[in-house]
Amino acid sequence: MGDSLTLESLPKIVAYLATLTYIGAVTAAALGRSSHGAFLFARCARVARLAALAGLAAVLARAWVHASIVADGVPDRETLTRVVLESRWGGRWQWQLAATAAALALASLRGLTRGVWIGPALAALGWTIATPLLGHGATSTWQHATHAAHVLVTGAWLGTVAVLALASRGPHADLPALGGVIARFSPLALTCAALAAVSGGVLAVTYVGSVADLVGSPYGRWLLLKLLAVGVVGACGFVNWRRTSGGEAPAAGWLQAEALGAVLTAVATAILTETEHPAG
Amino acid sequence: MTRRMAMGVAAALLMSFSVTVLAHMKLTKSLPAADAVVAGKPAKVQIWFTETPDKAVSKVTLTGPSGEVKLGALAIDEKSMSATVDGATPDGSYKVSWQAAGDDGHQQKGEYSFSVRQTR
Repeated sequence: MGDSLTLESLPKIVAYLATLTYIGAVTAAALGRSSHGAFLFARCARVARLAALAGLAAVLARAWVHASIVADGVPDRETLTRVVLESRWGGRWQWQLAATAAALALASLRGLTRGVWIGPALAALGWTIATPLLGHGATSTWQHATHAAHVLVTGAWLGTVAVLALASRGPHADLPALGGVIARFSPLALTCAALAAVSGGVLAVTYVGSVADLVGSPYGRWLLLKLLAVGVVGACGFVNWRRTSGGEAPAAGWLQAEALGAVLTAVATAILTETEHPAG
Repeated sequence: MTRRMAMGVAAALLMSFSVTVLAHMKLTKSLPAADAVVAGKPAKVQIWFTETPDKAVSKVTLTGPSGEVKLGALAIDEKSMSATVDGATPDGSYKVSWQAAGDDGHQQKGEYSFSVRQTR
């Protein structure tokens, strides 16, 4: 598996975490509209800005790393220019750059703390569409659409888990209010998890092709690790759902464990997308 | 989301199952062929792939007994790249080193060898 952890995986890990967290912030803000909104809106706005900033840094780092792979060493200015402005990869990278810049700009609007989140919602959609442009999803329209759908529902599920875990931290965290948000989030999480399983299943069957390749190829083994991380998220999510559906406030520790599982899922995904898949 | 909507989305995603998928770009053939023995100087070096390579990040070099051989500008055709052999190619072993990327942007590298032997 050592070859899978290419240099390009590292900024991709940050990019995926940022994308999912941003989508999660938008989703959590939408869930918080009907109760104790001010507390959650402020937290979500801050998380969205930080996520967009991290995403922007990751996109810029990806250009540098990709150019260094092309140059087989430290890229000079000519190589960097050729990669980001003239190559097919660079053309798609520019869309990702624009999407993350728009996400940052729209997450900085003043209306967010009053519940006006239409701008970041549109930015999240644009960022979702731009994410699969660099990688396996770039090879066909249908693959791109499936990858984008997977990113969107995963962000609405795992990203929101991460945002709620962050919102549960600190002395001023309003855990009873969060309990109400989690109760509203649970059916959405279940739906998004199911859709993520379907879209992920389509991609897994397409890219892996056989059970032998699932255990015998580096791509398949990283996919199994990803599924293990998803299992951790699901288990912790079940515990949180049982607590909040019974009227209890969520336990910050279980929320954070769920968020850790989400982080590990994003890490495994970033490595997966830099690994050659066995099918084809 | 209603159950009906969810089922509709799931069906659409499953329909994408039928799409032909390409893995990373791969080399399919070359001219001169790998391990070939060429009588005289080859006119050009050409490499075919499963996808059209991206010219901006592709290159090919030819190295022989006297070092690197001068090649012409890289040309990209449908699923292939080529360069004319402008420098001298005395008898001996030659190595073609190539670097290219397809639609997914992943840089692929490879090399192969052939020999030049003048007929006497």
